[in-house]
Amino acid sequence: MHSSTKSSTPTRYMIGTDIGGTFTDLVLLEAGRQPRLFKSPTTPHDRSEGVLNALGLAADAVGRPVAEFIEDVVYFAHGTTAATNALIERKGAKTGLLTTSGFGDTMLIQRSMTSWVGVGAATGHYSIRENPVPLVSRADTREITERVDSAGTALVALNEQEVRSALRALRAEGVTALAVSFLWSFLNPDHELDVQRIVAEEWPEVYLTVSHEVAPVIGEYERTATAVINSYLGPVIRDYMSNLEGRLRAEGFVGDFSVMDSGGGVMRATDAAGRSVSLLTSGPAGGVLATTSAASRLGYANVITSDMGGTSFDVGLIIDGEPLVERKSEIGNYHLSIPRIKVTAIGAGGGSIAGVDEVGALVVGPESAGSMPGPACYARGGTRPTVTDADVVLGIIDPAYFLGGRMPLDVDLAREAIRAHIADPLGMTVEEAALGIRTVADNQMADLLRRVTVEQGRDPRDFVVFAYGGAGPTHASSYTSAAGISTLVIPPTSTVHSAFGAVTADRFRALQATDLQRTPPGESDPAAFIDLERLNGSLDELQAKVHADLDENVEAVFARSVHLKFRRQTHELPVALPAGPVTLDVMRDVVDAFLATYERLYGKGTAIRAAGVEINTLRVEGRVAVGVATGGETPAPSVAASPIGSRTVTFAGRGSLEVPVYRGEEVGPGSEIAGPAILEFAGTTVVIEPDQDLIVDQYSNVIVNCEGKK
Amino acid sequence: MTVPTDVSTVADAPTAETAVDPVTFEVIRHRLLAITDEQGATLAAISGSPHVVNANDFNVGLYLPDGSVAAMGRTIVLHSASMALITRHVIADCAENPGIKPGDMFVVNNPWKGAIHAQDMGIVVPIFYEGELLAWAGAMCHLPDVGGSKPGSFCNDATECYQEGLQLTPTKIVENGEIRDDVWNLILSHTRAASAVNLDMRGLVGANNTAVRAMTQLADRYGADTVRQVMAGLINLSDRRLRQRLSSLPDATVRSHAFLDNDGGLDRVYEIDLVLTKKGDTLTFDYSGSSPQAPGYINCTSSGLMAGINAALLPILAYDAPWNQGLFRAIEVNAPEGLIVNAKRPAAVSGGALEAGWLVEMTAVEALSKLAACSDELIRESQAAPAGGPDQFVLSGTNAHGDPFTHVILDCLATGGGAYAHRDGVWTQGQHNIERQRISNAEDMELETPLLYLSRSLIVDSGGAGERRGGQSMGSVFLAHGGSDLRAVCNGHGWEAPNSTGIFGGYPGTQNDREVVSGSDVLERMRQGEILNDVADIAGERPTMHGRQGLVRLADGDVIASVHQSGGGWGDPLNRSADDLAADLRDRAISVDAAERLYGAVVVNGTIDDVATRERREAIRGERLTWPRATDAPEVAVTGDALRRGPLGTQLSIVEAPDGSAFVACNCGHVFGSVREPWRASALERRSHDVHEFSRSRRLNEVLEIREYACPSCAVLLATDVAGVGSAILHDIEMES
Repeated sequence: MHSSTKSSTPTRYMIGTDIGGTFTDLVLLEAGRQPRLFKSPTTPHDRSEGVLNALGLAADAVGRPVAEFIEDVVYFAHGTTAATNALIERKGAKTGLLTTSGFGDTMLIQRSMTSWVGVGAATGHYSIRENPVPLVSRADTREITERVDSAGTALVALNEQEVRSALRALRAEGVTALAVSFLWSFLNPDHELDVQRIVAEEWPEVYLTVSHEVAPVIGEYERTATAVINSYLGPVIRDYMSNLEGRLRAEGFVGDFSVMDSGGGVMRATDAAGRSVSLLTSGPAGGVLATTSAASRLGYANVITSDMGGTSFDVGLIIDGEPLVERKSEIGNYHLSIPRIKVTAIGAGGGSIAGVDEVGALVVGPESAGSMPGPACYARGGTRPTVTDADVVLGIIDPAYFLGGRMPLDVDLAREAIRAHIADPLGMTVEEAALGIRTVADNQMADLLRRVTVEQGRDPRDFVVFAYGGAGPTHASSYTSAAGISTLVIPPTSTVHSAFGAVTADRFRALQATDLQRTPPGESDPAAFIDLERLNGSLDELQAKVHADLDENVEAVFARSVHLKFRRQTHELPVALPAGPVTLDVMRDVVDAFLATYERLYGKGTAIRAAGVEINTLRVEGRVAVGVATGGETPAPSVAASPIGSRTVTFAGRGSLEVPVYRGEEVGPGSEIAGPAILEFAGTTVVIEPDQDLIVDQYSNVIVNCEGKK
Repeated sequence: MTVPTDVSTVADAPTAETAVDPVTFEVIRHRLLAITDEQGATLAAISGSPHVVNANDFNVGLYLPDGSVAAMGRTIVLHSASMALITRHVIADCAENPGIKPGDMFVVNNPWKGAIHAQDMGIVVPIFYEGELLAWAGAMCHLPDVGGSKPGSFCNDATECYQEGLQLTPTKIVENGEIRDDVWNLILSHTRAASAVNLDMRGLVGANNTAVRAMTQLADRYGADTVRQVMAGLINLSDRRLRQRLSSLPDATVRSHAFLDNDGGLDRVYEIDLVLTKKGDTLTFDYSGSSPQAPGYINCTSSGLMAGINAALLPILAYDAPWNQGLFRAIEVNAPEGLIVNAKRPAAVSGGALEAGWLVEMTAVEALSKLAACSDELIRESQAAPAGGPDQFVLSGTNAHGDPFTHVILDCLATGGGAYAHRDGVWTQGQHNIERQRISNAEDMELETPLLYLSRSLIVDSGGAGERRGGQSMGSVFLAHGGSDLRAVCNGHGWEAPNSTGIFGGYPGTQNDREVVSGSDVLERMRQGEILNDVADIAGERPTMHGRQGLVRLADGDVIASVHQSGGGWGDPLNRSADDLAADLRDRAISVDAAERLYGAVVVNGTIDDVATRERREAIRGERLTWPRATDAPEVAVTGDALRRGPLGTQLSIVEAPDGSAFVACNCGHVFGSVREPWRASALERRSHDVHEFSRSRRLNEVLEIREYACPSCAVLLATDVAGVGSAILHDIEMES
């Protein structure tokens, strides 16, 4: 990024923000200082207000008026749920779709997944399943006479007259956004390009997405869905970004403005309107990215990221230093064909409701009390016990110091809820019942940690857990050890981790494209059958596009990979390519690496070389380091932190113990504390169990040894 | 050596109450389900087969020492009962010789030993802990081929099971932790797809290893007794939940039947006949009135029968209970051997899961739905019949690159769901017995096969008409393009018999249909810039098609188009609101013709004329009032104020007279008669042989007819039955009083 022209003051601030459902998080970075964290309520009527409120908190904290403070902000990075909300709430633009004759129902049929995608665990309850409300009505879907076949040959020319009359009709209908998705356009985009040209003539103001640009990959349903959703959200995101940027500029902000891309970095805010689909679920992606850079600094190659908030528990994976990226993914009843960081969620959070089922088992979630009424201890009218209520009853959370004391909790209401709904029906004490809630919830989360690793053919014990989110640090020592994992890291930014991820992430652009090549079965040297000239040409073309999207920045670093699979098999694996052209030797190495990885993941003997190999998808990622001021690397003088007090906490199998309580921010780098102990931070509470211990490293990460001495 | 082949004698799991504390119970319960997820993930990872990974055609689970299912993966509902049967046959056949020891695994794919058909290969493993049997685990998946007369092993020309490929009775395949190469090679030598079968079987073994490892860790941590008790407790939980639900329903006898319209060899219609008795907290499924086993491959064994029953029961009455043996304890099944639904050797059974077994599911869905419709609380779970069975389509030949190929075209799975009281059927819900179904993209199909789609769309008028409409199925029109020597093998029922029947007056969804156009003008028209999406517009020669067509040769430029059975409708079509009809027309769910023919609408310039529609519907109701009464059963009058006891669908109720006797009454107040007698007897009746009066289909086997029943007072349509010509009127819901 280019530096600010302002020179009257040496202070340069960088800001990351993330708008969540409840809070707008802000992290303030300044060279040589620890990141400073702020939270302000989210303002759904105009989310930019919450951002400005959070900015106000930051300005107060540095003791300067907002107008003066904001002039010294050189970089502002932003993550938002605006796109996700607009999709879920169906508040996007009235969108039209032009598609190949005979295929107008593709977005309704959804490869027969319509009615179960996005339903979660309840798919077996058929009576509640429904088709989603279409993003494009059947009337606004126009089938166009044109046809390309699987060889890329245009069998039927584009009927331009039909296109023009469809455009006029859609415009008359009040359509403001348009998607174009023809069969095989990723292979031969001519007809989509023709439509692009006609739209430029006929209807230049319409928001347009053509499928071969946004998702040039095989599979018409997912490609069409990606194009449609991009158009559906485009005008909303365009307005959102210009509103937010306008507000910031009006306050005097002159720095660079970026927004999170759920593929793995940030993009320029001005690019966001054109790539709205990349903003979907970028918050969780920000958390994974923040973890990726922190983990690489600490030398952890394999990490499970865990984000426990009020309603959900989000888990991501970092394998060999790279976040796990999905080529296709689900979002709000639909599918996308763009690369996105994979995050798996279950309904488990501080607000998850506990109850007793008819066989007398203690069950927790997936129902959540949310933030309204919230846990019983919030005293907002909730009477059913939640995980947070259990934490309060057990003494883990100090009711007087929740959110740094800004929101006192009512322990009596928590006790009463647990007594009435759990303890009495099960004939337990309130403490036993609270412990039960915690144990059940923590083990559910541990089961998810195991599942996501096993699905990737990995052993959870080879991973380190990073925990963040408001409730993560409060439960992580327990779910980490239940999953059989020994090391837990709680980063200092854990309560605003997505915002931290936004401000520290590289500028990023990733493109994937299908350029299918298959080798014949029965050959011992499949690489020899790959058309390398074509492969290199496709890769170079992709890289040129990525580079253009990064403004031809000379510092751009590229990572290129090919997805390989065995013919007639379903598993695809990405294999990284070295820099430079793919030669026959390189291709042989790639095939060998594919075979080796395949057998390592799926077991010896699973690779069928004789089946032949298919190159399916090519991917190029480009990134440019933003060069943020990651403060706090300097080890502070190691002073043994002393507890601010103690309180009685109940642990599983250990009864009630008197546990020292530390002010988390005062436990400096180099500190070592043996469990049991509690570290209270302004936004969260870290608890370690008896037999566990922790150290604080030079970056202020709390590193817990969860193995214990059991 | 005797084994429990009679499904009604399958033993129950232990019923001991759990003594495990409620927290440990829940932690272990969640862990057990997570272990089944891990088994599934391991199988999918190793197998990599589209059947396993995309179609979810596999099952994994954890079983008690006696084989009772304690926990299973949520995959294809049909397989829910199979694994318990397989495990019990292993115990019965192998305990003495060759013995069941730590480190052993056993393979089974015999349809008389628990498999639904021979393509379903199951491998189970005993899990020993400290020398004692802790549990069993198992995994099964659909293999692409196990030999027999046809690739894919659906042997539609078979007349005996001996022509249907490899059918292993319980056989030790892993001994002392080592795969037995002799058995492994024996299996591979019987399949046309050895490399894929090899991986699938490795996946099954791998899934079992995952289970053994995880269960051992669980026992290490909590003790073997605790783990077993939780497994038994899970079964109790499901048992209790289902029984509670059954107790909330009135006692009743519900009858349902379905027609299977030929068997590949003989052009005769077979009947699957169910009498469902609900008493207290139990259900009895009596299929003994079904046809004797057929000469062709359409029969199912007792495993297929149980699969069909479970596929209906689980989503309708057990949607919120863990799927395990507990759901089968309240159930008794009565079907003597030798029937089409419980065939004995040497019957051909390779098509059974998709034929007789499928119609077991249809009858069970209908009967359970009618039972649920007798409860205000559960009527929400009641549905019209879903898609009544696929028209299978397997294409083989040589592709454009000169490579031979065989491809199972799964477009036939993208079918519409049945209508409910509270909503229309879901379009392309997928088959009722597949919880989470996917089909391939058209682009992937065009890449794999020499087919070019002219269209792939929701079929207009495919959903059954009704106050709530059935969901539409997807139809495809294919052009043979670029291959050679193309051979399509097409087989299905539901050709001359509607299987996706409507409920409470709703009409049936469309039947299977298939058209082939030889020497079409499609390519010529394409060159002129025209794409023909609708097969009706395509010129060429149209050979006569049959339901069980068998082989069709396709030349380049030939067209094959198919329409698939779609969900049935709910309630009188004349009660569908004008707004709903307008939306149907706008969304092209129905045609103008259907709006007028089936729904009594008047459409002017593409829009519903409200006033004219009301008048026309009144006229149709008036016409119904001229229908004769079904029998000369006497009129009944209830003296005194009748109290509503509960619903019987959405138009009828059960009312109670002051003397405690119960009657069936229409919403309009008309009383039909005692709940002991068929209300149809005193309803107005019309019989028709023209199925097109009820759906988009035009073929009805000559032994079948359609009967409509209307209220003599308000003329609302109360039932639309598919029945055998000359058969007695249906007494579908009978109560004692």
